[in-house]
Amino acid sequence: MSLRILSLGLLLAVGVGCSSDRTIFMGSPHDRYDHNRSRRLISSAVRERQPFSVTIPAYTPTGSPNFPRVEYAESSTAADGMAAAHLVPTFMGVELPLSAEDRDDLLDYLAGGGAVEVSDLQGDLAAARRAFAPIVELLESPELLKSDVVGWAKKTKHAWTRDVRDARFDRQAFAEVIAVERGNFWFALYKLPSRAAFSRLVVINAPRAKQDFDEMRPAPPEEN
Amino acid sequence: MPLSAHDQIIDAINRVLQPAGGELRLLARVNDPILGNPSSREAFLLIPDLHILSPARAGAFGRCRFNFDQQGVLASILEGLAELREAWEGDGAHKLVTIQLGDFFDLWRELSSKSQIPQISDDAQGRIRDVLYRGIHRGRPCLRATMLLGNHDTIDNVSLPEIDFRLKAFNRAANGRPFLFATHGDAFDLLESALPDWMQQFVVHMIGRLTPSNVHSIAMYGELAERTNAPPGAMVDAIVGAEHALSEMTAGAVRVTAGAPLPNRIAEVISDPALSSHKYFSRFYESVGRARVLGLDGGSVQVVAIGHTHHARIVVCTPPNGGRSMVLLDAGAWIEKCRYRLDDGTEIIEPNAQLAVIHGNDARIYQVRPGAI
Repeated sequence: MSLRILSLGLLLAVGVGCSSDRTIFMGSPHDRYDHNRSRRLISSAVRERQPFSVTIPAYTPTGSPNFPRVEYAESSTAADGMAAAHLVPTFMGVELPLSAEDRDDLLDYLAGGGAVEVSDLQGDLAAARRAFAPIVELLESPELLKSDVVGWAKKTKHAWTRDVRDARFDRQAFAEVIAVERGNFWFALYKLPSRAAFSRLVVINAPRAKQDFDEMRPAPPEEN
Repeated sequence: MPLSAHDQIIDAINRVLQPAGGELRLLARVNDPILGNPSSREAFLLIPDLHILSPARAGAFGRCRFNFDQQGVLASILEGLAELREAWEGDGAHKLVTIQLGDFFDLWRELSSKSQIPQISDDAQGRIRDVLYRGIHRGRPCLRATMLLGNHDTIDNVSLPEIDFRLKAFNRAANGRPFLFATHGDAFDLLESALPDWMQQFVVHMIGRLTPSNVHSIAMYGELAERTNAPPGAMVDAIVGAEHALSEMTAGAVRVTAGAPLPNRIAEVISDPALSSHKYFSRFYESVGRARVLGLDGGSVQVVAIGHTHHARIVVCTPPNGGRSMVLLDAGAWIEKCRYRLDDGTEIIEPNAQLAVIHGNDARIYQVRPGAI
């Protein structure tokens, strides 16, 4: 009897989305999707209050003319010509539930393979819409975002984890953080304190892995 | 009258070539609505296989020559085109979209294992790397090219970490129906060597299905490439010895200058995909058809752009009775040689040095002839 129960337990554990013991590290702005790249921005911190987009040069040593340089008050320009700092945005994540516009930019990012910069060319959008339909359904649904997301992940057989190391903010700033995996991307959902629902999304490109031909999907990265 | 996008590109290239006695020749062209491009905003610059090596490694191949490496011509041309891209971004009339079709840095010839990748110094072929993709991080003129993965772009299943490779790309279509599909062109060789249902796999992984575009597949394609690539020792003579006879056509390869009229120059016009002599034409044709049935983005494709064969040509298929047409643009290479005739009948055998450009419904392949640079 106990063996039967054990077998049944194992079967259940394999059959449902299991908590991964993975730790998700959020890397640089190059390595995460945290805002709708197609929407222009405006800020009093940016010269002339002209709408701008954040592109790769903003996060390079030479900086971008869109963003102010920061210099030390007393000293002159450094020998290598670099500023002391650049003022660059730290994005809060895409607002949830997803609007249609935000959904479209997200799918464009996913279809393109996860490069944060908006490419001149596109990936296969039709395939991406199908591939990510379940997760988009979660991200668009006010009801699901208020509900037990871990339960949803288990029911829909998505790997999930609560261990997200955020490069932007201390974990204590959030009431709850859950990341759900699909298609070699981790979708990190954030719930602010005193809020009933997850309201922000950051997407992290998971490490590239080999292809599982039988399953026609990426194979999980090999454990070290 | 302002110059067309094609002529502005020709101008930028000739500004590099002509002062040193060089010239541009037209190897192939199709100017026809069959391309199915409704937009005149984007101009697509297609850079074929480069197979670049570090100078130290190129020396190890002795008499082999890597054309642009010797002369810096390609780097100079691309730097001029990067300036054009920036000028166009300023006035918003056009956009220069650059695709490098794979086999960029030939890791297969350069290294013997992935552990040697850090040995490729920062300045090895630095100008090319900067102008194609690296310059954006360094405040230098940059084409921001989409870099497609070729079979020589990996070693031990690993690619150059600085490059964000893709397996495929489509043009951005306002109507949601891309006309252009670009890929290196080796997918059938790789998949066929490994998988019984290789056509379905191509549709799955390349034209698309339920998995995302290329997040996972660099290692997989690298592994397959290792099974199919010729061993490095067998490739020395292939660099100088291989000669591709470009198709004989009524009109010889005319000299190209801005504003001068140009003829169509198509290697094959066929009524049935099975009639093409191009090894991959019918397979791409079939895969587009399958993508159409599956409702994928690849189903609207009219132009497939590839490298890989090192044999520049354009193939046009127009089946009778309104059947589905398709154009294959095989963009050539900057390795091995080509043989063709000039418009005065002179036969030329010289290193491959091709660039392709598509603007509107006008697709061209040029041969760059550096002259005395």
